[in-house]
Amino acid sequence: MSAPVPLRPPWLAFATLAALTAAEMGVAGWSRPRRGALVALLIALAVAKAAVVLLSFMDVARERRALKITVLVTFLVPAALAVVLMKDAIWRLG
Amino acid sequence: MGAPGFSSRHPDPSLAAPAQGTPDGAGRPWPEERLVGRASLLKVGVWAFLVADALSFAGLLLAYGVLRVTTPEALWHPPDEPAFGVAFTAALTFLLIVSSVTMVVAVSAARAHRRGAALTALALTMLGGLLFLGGQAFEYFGAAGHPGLIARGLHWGVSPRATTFFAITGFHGLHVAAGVVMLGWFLLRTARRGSVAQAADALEAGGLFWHFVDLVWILVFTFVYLVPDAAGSALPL
Repeated sequence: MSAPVPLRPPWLAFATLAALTAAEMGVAGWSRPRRGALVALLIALAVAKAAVVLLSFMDVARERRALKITVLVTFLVPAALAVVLMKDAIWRLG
Repeated sequence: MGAPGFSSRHPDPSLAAPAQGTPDGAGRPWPEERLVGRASLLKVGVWAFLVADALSFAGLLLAYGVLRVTTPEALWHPPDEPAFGVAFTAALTFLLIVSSVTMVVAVSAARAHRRGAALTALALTMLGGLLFLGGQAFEYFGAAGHPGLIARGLHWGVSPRATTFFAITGFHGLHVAAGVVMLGWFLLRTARRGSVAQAADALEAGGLFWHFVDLVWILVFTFVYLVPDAAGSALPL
C-alpha cells in the first residue's frame, strides 16, 4: 500500500469549460451580429470545449501519436463532410 | 474462481482472466507496444468503440445540419412548436461537466489507493448522470404543473426539427443511461473489493466513455439548442 497521494481535481479544465459555457450563453443572447459570425463563433466555442474534454479529461494530450491521429481524423472527416454537404449554406452565411 | 479486480470470469479456471492492468495476473505490467504504449487491451477496445460511436453521432448531427439547411423555415419550425429551454439545458450541460470532473477524481483516487475518495467520487458521478436523465425527462414530459415539450406540441414525426431533436437527444440519453448503469456496476464492485487500485484500469476505461458522453453533449447543446435559438428563424442553419 503506497502512501496517500493528494488528489488534484482538474480545476483548470473545469474553470475553462465553465467560462466557455458562460461565453456560449452570452453569445447566444447577443442581439444579432452578422449571421455567419454568430454561427462560426458558437461552433468555435463548442470545438474549444470539446478539445478541452479530449485533451484534459480524456488525456489525449499524453497519448501516443497513433491515437491522436485517429481521434483527429474522427473529427475531421465529419467536418469535411459537413462542408461538402452544406457548402451552399456555408457560402451564404459567409 | 475469480481474479481480483474487474477481470471477467472465465468458464475454465485454468484460463481465468488476469488481474486488470496485468496481462498475466502476476503483477507484471503490460509490455511496451510501439503504437499503444502500456495501455490495457480494455482501454484500446474502449477507444475503438468510442471512435465508432463518435461517427454514429457525427452521422446524426450531419443529418440534422443537412435537414436544417434544406428545409424551408415554415416546415422546419411550425409556429405551434415550442422553443427549447436553453438556460435549463445549459444547467444540464454544466452538470455533465461537473460529473466529468468527479470521474477524473475517481480514477486518480483509485490509482492512489484511496478507496473512500474513489467511492465517493464515483457516487457523485453517478448522481450527476441520474440528475441529467431526470432533467431530460423533465424537459420531455414536464412535472408538477410544468408541461414538457411533448405536452406543448413537440411531437416525433411532425416536423424535421422535432424528429431530429428526439433522435439526437434520445440517443445521447441512452448513452447517459448506459453510463449510469456502468458507474453503478463499478460502484458495487469497488465497494465489495478490498483494494481499489486493481479497479483503476477499468475505471479509467469507463471514465473515457463518460467523458465522451460529456463531449458529445457539448456539441449537441450547440447545434440543437444554441444555434437555432441564437440565429432566429432567418438563419439557414
